[in-house]
Amino acid sequence: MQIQLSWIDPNTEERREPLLETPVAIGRVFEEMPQQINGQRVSRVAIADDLIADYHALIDWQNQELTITEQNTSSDIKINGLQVTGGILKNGDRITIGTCEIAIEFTATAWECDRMIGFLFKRRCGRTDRIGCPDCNQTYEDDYAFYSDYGNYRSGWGRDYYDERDRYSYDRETGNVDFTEADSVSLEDERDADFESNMGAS
Amino acid sequence: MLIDLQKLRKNQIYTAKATVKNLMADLQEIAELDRLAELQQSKHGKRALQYFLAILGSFVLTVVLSVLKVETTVLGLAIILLVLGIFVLTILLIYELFKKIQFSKLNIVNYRYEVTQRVVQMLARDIDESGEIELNLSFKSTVSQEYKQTIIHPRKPQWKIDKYQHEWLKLEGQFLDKSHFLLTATELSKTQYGWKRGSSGKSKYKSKTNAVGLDVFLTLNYPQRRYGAVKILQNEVSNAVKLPNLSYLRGLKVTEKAMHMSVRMAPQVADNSGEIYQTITMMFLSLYQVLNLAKILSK
Repeated sequence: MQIQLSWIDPNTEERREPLLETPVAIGRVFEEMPQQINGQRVSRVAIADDLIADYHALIDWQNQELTITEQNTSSDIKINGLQVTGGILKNGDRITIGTCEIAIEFTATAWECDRMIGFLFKRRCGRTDRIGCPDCNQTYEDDYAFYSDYGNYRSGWGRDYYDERDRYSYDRETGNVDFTEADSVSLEDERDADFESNMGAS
Repeated sequence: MLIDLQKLRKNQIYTAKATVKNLMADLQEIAELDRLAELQQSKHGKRALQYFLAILGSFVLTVVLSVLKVETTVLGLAIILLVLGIFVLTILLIYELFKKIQFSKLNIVNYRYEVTQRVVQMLARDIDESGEIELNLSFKSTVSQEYKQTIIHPRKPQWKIDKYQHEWLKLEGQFLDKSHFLLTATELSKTQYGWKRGSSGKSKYKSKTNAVGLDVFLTLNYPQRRYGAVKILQNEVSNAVKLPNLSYLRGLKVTEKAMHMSVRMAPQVADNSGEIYQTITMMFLSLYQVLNLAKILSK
């Protein structure tokens, strides 16, 4: 869902009025803010102000309401002049982050389902009503239950491959998958260790 | 899309290439038709039973009245009316039985469309709304001449085995990530028959039909650019497979372009829609688990 933020840049004193897709991350350092949250692309707003943390706050839809949450304990957020750590935003509210006062505008459009759907191809549901939506009812959870740990590679099947994922080098053109140099080094070390233990070395 | 009732009644096969929305609407219509047919069949069955009992009652009454020694005009008229009644009731009984048989052709096997409905809905999560699925759904009985293959019994001389193999479900389509899937469900059954000599020396003709189970095949053709790293996982793919207790993996083949999986379901659950759905879902999830990891490794 789109929201419009408007504020005056503290350095250039220019008015900025970007129309952004939620979730929106606000901070001082662009790279410090997440690119994706729960598979959703994050709109990042970087404001060069010393009083703003590298990753200061996140604006997102939760339970059909626009919310703001502080991302750093030293972050200061004010909603309509009141000091808060987070809260619900309404159309026309003004939030103060650092020295910037940001006005928030959004059109109260129909509710959209923000569930991530698809087993193989994850994407946002985006339906505007729950009627007839197979993803908003219990069947989704039921089907996941058939394969416990589905999508989890931190334990169980595929764990080793997942842990070593950075060591695989995949060439999209040739389709070849190779170990990286780091992997070869690790294998060499392993081989040496085996050799030493076979020789009875301590 | 409208279902051709005549065709469905005659061929007992539903074939379509349509979007998920249209397929679901058609399958819902088939379910409604089946429900209606079941209701009508039951209604005509009940009426036929009532007419039969009335015929039986009238017949007994006629016999009782006939054996009475008293001869009056009223009694004679009553007997004539009873005979007439039996005649009319017999015609009504035949009519009701005829209607019952007529509706029995539309009373199709429930588990087949129930499973298909749920599977299509499950797959729809990864399919584009405008993407088409090809569906071939048969409601014919597995034990039919059409699907029969006769072989000689391997151990009993002069005995034969009729093997029935009926592919009642074929589902084909493409996911959003361009992976192509092909799912088939084939019901198996066999009948052994021949002459057997008893201890007394008499020969008896014996015949025994056994359900063998349900074979489910799944093929996923995946885009190499996205999932090329599957080849790293090739030797361990079978460990990613999870199946219900009464289903077992018969074969799993992984090539650079596709994964083929074959599962046999035990005969006692071969017509259980819940079990079939669970097996099919677990088959898909098992292969998705491999593909999703391959995608991570291919980055």
